[in-house]
Formats: sequence, structure tokens, C-alpha cells
Amino acid sequence: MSDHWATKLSAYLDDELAPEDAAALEAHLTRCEECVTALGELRAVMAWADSYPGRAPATDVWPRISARLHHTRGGPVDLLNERSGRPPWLIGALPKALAAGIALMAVAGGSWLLGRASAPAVPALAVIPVAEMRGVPSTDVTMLQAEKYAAAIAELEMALSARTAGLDSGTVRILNEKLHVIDRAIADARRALASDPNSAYLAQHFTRMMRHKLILLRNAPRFTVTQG
Amino acid sequence: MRDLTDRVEMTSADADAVDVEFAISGDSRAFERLYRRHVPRINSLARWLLGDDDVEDVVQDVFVRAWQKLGTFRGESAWGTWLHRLATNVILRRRAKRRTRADRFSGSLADLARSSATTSSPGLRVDLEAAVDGLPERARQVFVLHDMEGFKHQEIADALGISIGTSRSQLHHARMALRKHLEG
Repeated sequence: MSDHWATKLSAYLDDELAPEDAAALEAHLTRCEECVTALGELRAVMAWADSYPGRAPATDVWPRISARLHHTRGGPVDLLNERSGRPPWLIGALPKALAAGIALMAVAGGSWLLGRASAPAVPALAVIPVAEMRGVPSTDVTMLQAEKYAAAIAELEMALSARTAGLDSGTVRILNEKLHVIDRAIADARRALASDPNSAYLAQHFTRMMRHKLILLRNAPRFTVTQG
Repeated sequence: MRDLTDRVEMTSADADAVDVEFAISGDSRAFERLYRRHVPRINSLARWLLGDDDVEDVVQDVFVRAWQKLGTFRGESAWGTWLHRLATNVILRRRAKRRTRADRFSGSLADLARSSATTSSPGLRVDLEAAVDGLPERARQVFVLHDMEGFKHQEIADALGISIGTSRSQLHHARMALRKHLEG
């Protein structure tokens, strides 16, 4: 393998060679096993770098970070206070109340949120079967996925409204407040998509917001949400 | 709703999205979960861009900064991507402050040649992580920024104060050195 070709391999993998240089390298690769091997090894190095999981610090630095968070201005609680004018106790209580509300709903109304067998017609995450996607443009697939998420969300919301009657009004209000945060994000995404309906990016963004809401509804009980 | 199945498992990105929602509400336990999912790679990033000095301090700074800036996260990319950009900025600022000292270890292509010459014995799996440790500093920084953090050569050149050509050259030589440490 000469330096002439070796120096071009990385650029080739990064798609940085001029078309004529890329064509020349590809022609060379058909007759140079050494360069083919090197190319494969470089690809392996790049793949390793991309998926490298990292190495945790020898000493857990979280306790020191945690101590600093409570003395740091400009964190989430400060930002929310500035935006909403809500008192800090309410901001801190919001996730607690959300968890408590969901726990109450799970107890009072069965396991609708947890997706256990005891609850009939439990909405779960929608997945479009692969067969349905064949031959369909990606934007259409994305929107089809969004429609399925919407159906699952609607069912979850119906279950929610049917089970909030017995809950403390403050809990319901706080739960709704939390859901409204993500609903606003969904509404923003929907508006953006309406203004540019052919945008695959916006369609994916809209679907992602829908998926986040569904995941939030389904997985909230898994999270320990006490104020640290 | 028979077609709704439970086949979608919660991915790390999904877990991040949910925890970011909670963390923005002021839930530091959710932020701790984000920390635990991402600290290994942030720690390695800091170690490889800075050397062993100050790594724990800068890792702390990264996550405190992320907490401060959490409200500005718009969800346009995965949270992990956002965090890595923020982390790289924090780390490079720290590096700039001590550039004089770092310049002593900027490395040369001659160093690279020596690094790649110390290859593994055939059939012996050599840790690529250790091989990255062994790269000259400049090559290691370019490799980490480009292949691990997704920076463009122009961005790397601006961040490290080098030319685009140097960035390309260092990347090529780093990869060529590392490939010799692949499993034999």
C-alpha cells in the first residue's frame, strides 16, 4: 500500500474526496487487497469510536455535583420561577404530586398506566408493522406513526379523565399542568408542520413529541421523582 | 386497539427525554439519572481532551453547566447530543486556559509514527481505549472531536487553533495508528 493511496483512505471514508479521486481509489481497491484491508480496519476504528461507551470516573463525582446544584443560580427551578412566577415550593412539588397522582390512579383505577394484564384495552406504544411501511414514502410512514400514537394517547387520556374524579383537585391540576407542557410542544410541532407539510424533519419532530407524551404517560411510575 | 403492541422498548434517548422533563421541573433525582447515563463518555471525553489533570473538576463543571442551561434545551436533537456539545465547549474552554502547558504535548507526526509502531502481538486483543490514550495529544484530540463527537474539520481547526489540513492529517494518522491495535 503506497502512501499515495493510504493518505486518501480516511478522506474517502469521510466522503471528502473529489469524485474523480474517489473513482480512482475505487478502481485501485479492486486490485489492492492491502488497501481493502486497511479500509475495513479504518471503518472498524470509526465504528468503535462512534459506539464507545466511555469509562466512568474512578471516583463518583455526583455528590459534589449535587451539592453544587443546590447553590447554583440559573438552574431549572430558577428558570421556571422566572417564567411562571410560581413559588418554588410548587415547582419542587410538581413532580412529587405527579408521581403521587399517577400512583393514586394506578391504585384507584387499576393498572391502566402500567399496561398490566388486569386492565382491559390498555393502550401501549404503537408500532407500525413493517409490512405496512413497504413502498410508503418516509414522510407518510412518519405521519402514519403519529396517527397511531395519537390514537393511543387519546385512549390514555380517556382512561385518565375517567379516573380523575376521585382525586384531589390540586393533584389533578398539577398533573394537567405537566401534561400541558408536552401538549404545548406537540402544538408547536403541529403548527410548524402545517406551515411546511412536506418537511420530513418536521414530521419526524411532530411524531417524536407524540412519542414523548406516550412514553411519559406510560413510564412515569418507573421514575423516582422526589425532589433531591 | 389490537394493533397497538408493546414492542417499543424505552431507549436511552426516550429515558433521557422523560428525565429532562422531570429535571426541568426541578427534580434533581431525574438529573442524577441523566448524569449516570452520560458520565462515562463525558469523563472519557474530558480525559482525552485534557489529560488526567482536572478531569473530575471539569466533569463537575459540565453537569453543573448542563443543569443551569437545561431550560434552553429545545429537543431539536437528542439530549445526549446537546450535552456533548456543551461538554466539549466547557472542556475546550478549560483547555484554552492552560494552553501554554498543553502546547508542550501537542505531539508531532513523528510521535504518531512511534505510537503506531508499538503494535499488538498477533492474536492478542489490545484495548483500543488504551491505544487512544497512547496517541500524541493533538492526534488524540482531533480523533476524539471528529470520530467521537462528530465535529467538522473546520470546527476542530477553530477549536484547537490549527489548520483544516492539519486536522485532516492528524485524523488520518490517528486512525491509521489505531487500526494496528484492532483485535488480531
